[in-house]
Amino acid sequence: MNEEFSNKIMERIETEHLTPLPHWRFLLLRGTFWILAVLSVIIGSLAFGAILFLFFDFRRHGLSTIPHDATEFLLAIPYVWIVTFLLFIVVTRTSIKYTKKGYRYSLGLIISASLILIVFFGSVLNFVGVGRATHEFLNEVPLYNSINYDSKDAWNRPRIGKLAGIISSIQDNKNFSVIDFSGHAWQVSLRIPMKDKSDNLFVPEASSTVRMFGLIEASSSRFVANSIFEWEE
Amino acid sequence: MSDEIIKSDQELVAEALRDKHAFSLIMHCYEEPIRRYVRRLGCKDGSDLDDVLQEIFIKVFINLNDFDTSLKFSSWLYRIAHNETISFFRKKSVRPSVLNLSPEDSHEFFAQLADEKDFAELANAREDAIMVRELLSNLGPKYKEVLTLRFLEEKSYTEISDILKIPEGTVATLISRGKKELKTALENKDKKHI
Repeated sequence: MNEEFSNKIMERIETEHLTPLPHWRFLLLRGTFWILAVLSVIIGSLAFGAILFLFFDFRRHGLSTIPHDATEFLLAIPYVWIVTFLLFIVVTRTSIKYTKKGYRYSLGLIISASLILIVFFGSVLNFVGVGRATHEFLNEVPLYNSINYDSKDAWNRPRIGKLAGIISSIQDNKNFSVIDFSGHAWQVSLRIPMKDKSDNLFVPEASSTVRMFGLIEASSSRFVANSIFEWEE
Repeated sequence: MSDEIIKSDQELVAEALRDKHAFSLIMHCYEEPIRRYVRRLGCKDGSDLDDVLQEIFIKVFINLNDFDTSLKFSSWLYRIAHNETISFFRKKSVRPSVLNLSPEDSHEFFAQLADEKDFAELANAREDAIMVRELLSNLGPKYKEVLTLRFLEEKSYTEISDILKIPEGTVATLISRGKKELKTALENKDKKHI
């Protein structure tokens, strides 16, 4: 052993008053990465839950059966959530890598495990209604609202024949007023008069939410509906 | 046999945490292997090597509480040594010098390689330090690091994984590819001689 070298280091420890860093600092650092990993799984799951909610919400409102244009298809892709979902898979992977023994696992294994966790918890969150809650909560934020396209936006396009909203009043079995999802008031005329409930068909009532296919009339606040459906929440 | 020698690494660390003077026992055990390893990584002898070694042991002392007892202490120490040496090269903006292998190192390296079945026939007359140094130096840094740890430091795959903080599977892949490159280089050298 080189005594001189060892003495030099011990001397430096003495003169610079060096001491080992406390244990809690390392625990905190390691804990931070675990917390980050857990948080990113939660956020990734919320994103996946919202993707599932938006997908099923489109289907529930009959949008997958409509031969809508390519623009609408492109609009309907939940980019915000897909980017969030992918981003948080990467964050999860990075956080796990920097945990105490995270380096022992291969990139593929960590990404697959993150993906499985996020897809599983995202599905559970959507099943219990958190996917919808997340979307609706953020829909109050103007920026999110303006860049995210949901089924309400898809049914708020009277110029291409789709209108939805809440019936504010019913005048007779052909005419009623609707307030659409953007707050605009419409006078709606049905091409075929409403039947009564004995026909086992959907009969709109005041305060119910409906979606309709039809045509906008010359006057910008009149809509002629060819068919009318209940809006399923 | 003295008291220090029969103490485990964990006990030495615990003792150094209680009394800093006990840290000299750790240096006593590891100064030589770490000096050799840093030299093999390409740090030239002289003040640079001493500076790097000093920084390594100071860092080890400061981070003693970070030592994870589920790892081998030597793996943790080699990890710090590796990182400090690489950061020394970066700070100085220099590439590691040509591998500093002694004739014993070269002999050792090929003796280890000879145990590998696909190197058996190549290992016989490969004790030329300069040639081995040249061949190893021409390898990519990742291959060089794992081959040095595997065949010179005689570390297991798990230890290399803990030192370099990469998965064991990656260690195996790098060793296999490094060996393949080395074998090709050796064969090319042979052809040139013929």
